[in-house]
Amino acid sequence: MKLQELTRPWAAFNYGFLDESAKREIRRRILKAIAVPGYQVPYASREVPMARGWGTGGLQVSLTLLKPTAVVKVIDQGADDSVNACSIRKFFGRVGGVIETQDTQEATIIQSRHRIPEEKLRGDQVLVLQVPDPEPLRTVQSDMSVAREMHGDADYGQLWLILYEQLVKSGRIMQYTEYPSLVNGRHVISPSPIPRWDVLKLNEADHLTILSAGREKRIYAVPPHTRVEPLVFDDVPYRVEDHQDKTCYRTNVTGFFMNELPQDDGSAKFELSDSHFGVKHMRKAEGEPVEIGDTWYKNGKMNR
Amino acid sequence: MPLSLAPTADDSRTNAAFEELMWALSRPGVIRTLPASGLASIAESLLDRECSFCVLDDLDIQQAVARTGARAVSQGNADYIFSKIDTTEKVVALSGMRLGTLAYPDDAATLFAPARLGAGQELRLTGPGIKTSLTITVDRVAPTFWEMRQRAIRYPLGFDVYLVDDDRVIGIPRSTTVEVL
Repeated sequence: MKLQELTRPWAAFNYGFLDESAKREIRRRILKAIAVPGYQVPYASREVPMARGWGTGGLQVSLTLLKPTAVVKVIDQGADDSVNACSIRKFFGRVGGVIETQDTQEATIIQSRHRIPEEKLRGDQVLVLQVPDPEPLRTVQSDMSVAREMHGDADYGQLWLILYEQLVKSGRIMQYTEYPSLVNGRHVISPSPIPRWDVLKLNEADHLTILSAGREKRIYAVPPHTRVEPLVFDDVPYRVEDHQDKTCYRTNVTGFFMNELPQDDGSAKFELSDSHFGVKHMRKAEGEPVEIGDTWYKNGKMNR
Repeated sequence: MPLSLAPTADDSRTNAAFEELMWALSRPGVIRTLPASGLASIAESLLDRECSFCVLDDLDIQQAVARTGARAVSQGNADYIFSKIDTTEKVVALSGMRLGTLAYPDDAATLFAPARLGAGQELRLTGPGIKTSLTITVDRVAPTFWEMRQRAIRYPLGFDVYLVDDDRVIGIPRSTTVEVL
């Protein structure tokens, strides 16, 4: 084995921005993450031309999956048109020559921050979630090494205590994002800062979900058809946000996750949080032939 | 500066091989088709100088895997093991594979084994990635392998195995329960 045999011809730029050794490392980590659903696999987390905390973890996973025929959608808090989402999507187009889309149904790779689309994902789609803090135990254990031992022992008692304290203090569970969820009956994950509304979409889903934290250097995954159960007490059922009866003022659609827009008179208007889902409804109302996919929630209720 | 956006042939092949392995592991037992046949295409997609490997009794594959720059070590230390599992002796030789620790279950071995898919022993798979259950048939795998696997796996500890038949591959992660029918 000589170094010369390992080197490749010089090139100004590698496809998909990351060098091949970085991609190989992430490939190996993704496979381990799929093999042990919910377990946080450490990885190197390379430098990318974006500050840590802006989705570098998701970016690296998507870059590893990139190929010229990939169709990529990027969501930031439900919206395809925010600065963060646009910049990341354009970056994929620039370094990977991929097809950019805003349509959930067309996409093969969906990178998201803080939302899962309202339309059901198919078995051939990969959802890449950007994660700021992958450690569900951080609030009860600040030492990462000890938290790791606790995951090894499935020692999650203190998480129940947090939920119980919220119940006692406020009369209901106040955890509004990163709701601790048990994956495959073994590892508790933080499902990234998606609302409680979206956590149920991970359970027994058709698609593959890969969660990646760039700053914290952890990758974990929820394979298709895997149990994801939010931690709940037997006598206090899991409750999603009360958006069942809210109507979007732009599309007149009811029963999906909404953005609340406070008005001057103290009241509030609501609009669909999944922006392109709203766009599709508007186009349909104008008579365009738009196909809206099957949704997880129907009439404001999770459909199982 | 003009950028070349096209991946090289190597990039495309290793990317496609990984994608097939990813879906193979995400849906245990479902046959995926690799861009090229054999274990070498898997090795070039995943392995490099950061990994260790062990090839039992196959010189061609030994050389192909060594070309990735990975270190050849004994099977008790290897990250990636390439071996046939068609006889009890070979299965016994593999029983010392690394299974990870409770703190780091990913610190376990991955086994790539040639096999024949779609004939032979019936197996029923259940677990993550499988909707209810899936029945598959594999040949050229010694029956003792499934006993050894069941004894070795104390989830989340265990090893992951890929069965490769020419360019076809299935993945069986440690989270899958295998029932020999």
